[in-house]
Amino acid sequence: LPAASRRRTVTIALAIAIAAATTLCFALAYLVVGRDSDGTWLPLCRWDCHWYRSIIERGYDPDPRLDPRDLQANYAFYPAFPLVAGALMAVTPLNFTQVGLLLGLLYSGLFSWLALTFHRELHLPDQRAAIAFLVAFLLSPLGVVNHVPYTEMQFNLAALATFIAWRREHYLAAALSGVVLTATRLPGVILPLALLVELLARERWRFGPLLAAPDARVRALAVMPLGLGGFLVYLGLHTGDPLASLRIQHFGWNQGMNDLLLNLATGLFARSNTAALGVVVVVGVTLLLGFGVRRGHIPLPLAALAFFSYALPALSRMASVPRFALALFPVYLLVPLLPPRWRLGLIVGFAVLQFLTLHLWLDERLVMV
Amino acid sequence: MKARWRMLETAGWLALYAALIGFVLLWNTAPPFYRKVFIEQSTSDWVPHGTRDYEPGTTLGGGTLSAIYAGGWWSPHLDFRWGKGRAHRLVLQPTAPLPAGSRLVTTIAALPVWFGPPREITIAVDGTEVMRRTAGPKPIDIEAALPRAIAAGDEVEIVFGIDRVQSPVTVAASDDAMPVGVALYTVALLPP
Repeated sequence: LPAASRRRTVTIALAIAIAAATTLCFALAYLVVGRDSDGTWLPLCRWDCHWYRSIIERGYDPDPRLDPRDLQANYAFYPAFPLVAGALMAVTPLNFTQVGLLLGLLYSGLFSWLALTFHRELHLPDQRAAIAFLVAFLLSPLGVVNHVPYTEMQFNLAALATFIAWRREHYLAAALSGVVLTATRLPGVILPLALLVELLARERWRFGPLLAAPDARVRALAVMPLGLGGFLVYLGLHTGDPLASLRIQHFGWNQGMNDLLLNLATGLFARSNTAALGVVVVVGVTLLLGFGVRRGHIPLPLAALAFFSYALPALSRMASVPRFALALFPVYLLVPLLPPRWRLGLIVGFAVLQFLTLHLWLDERLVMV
Repeated sequence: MKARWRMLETAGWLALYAALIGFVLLWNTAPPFYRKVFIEQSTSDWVPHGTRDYEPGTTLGGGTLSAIYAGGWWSPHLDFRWGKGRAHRLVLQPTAPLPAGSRLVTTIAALPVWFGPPREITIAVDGTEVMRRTAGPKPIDIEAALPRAIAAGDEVEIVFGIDRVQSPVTVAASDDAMPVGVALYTVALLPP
């Protein structure tokens, strides 16, 4: 085989190995802690997973009549993940949970392949550093949500693909990945905005020439938010209110905007481990992101995506772990900076904590909604 | 020529996004009841065919879904519900007259206070204040005379007010971050 071809084959094999090994760790943890006291297997489809499954089973609700007591409806959730899962269910005999787990594995593999192949775009010096980043991220304590039937791994993959395609100047691929990203979760629109700000700063804030002669970059940025735009138009036509998703979040789940500082301060005093964990994540990750950006280890647009993806939900409440973990992967770009022994210790510690997180989640002591 | 097409493209993108923003902000074909609950917020509970008829003497639970909860309330807990903001409205229509001397009987509470004076709660019936007192986390029973006789079918508005709102999470009462006012357990209008 020519050298380039051999390198590609090795990269694919590495990506498969990382995704398989980290998923295996998750599976082993489930085998150990996944049984109830009476021996029955605890379901891996919990909390939001049921809402995504309901979208596939009955489509989007027209209003909250199904659960009027809590003013809840499944149009609080975005369509890209159920669309992909539904398509896979249509061509396989798998049920939603199985498809969700399979997608977690598949997305982990694709994410790993992207990071290994384009490690320079992530400011990683070599594949060895990329492996440390990937293993730390996929084994991270909150990484449980990347393996279960949730949207987090699809969001992370779409964000990474958008960013790398943008950096590699494959603007069509960037645009399409961006559409998937903004149709997966609302914070997806942060990445196109961050890329736009970066572009304008690079062009010395010359709006005129960019608007007068839009090029592939501007076109890609204009296309990316259409995933969200399409969902809003659909909601407008389906429920009569384009903002129905935000309203049901506010009224049904009490996810309205509050004072961030007050939330942070009081999260520490609440009788809730989850709220305290939220505060730790918000403060700790902000410090790490600041360090990473300042030292040039984390690309600014990805840091902005990570920061706003947890800062916005933190305005709402502290007790919502996956919302904080949604786009935390850029933080793990700092792991390769550690000395090898520390790195190994951290990764082993992460694996143990992920084990514990899974146990607490299955036991319903850790609220992940 | 190429420059003109590019300008047209920019105009197209701007028009698309202007149309999208206009659609999001202005499009409103939701059914009237949806608008009452989510946009006007003049009704708190999803009971599209519910009425505001009220039989004098019956007790309405805070945890019950009812069209009487007219706005300014969060979704109910099992046996109570939190008010939203500083004013929480009930609107009801008695099915029988409530003569002079009838009473409003209610059980309410508020969040505990860590610093400062306790919360002050007011109750007004058709704009007339009938009760003002402090309240804490322990539910208290309140009885107040109605300011006038009420004929059957007349609409009566009862407003629970509080001097300041706070989130349960701020006083370690629960994980809820939404700002709440009065906790309503029960309310009834009793003839003399």
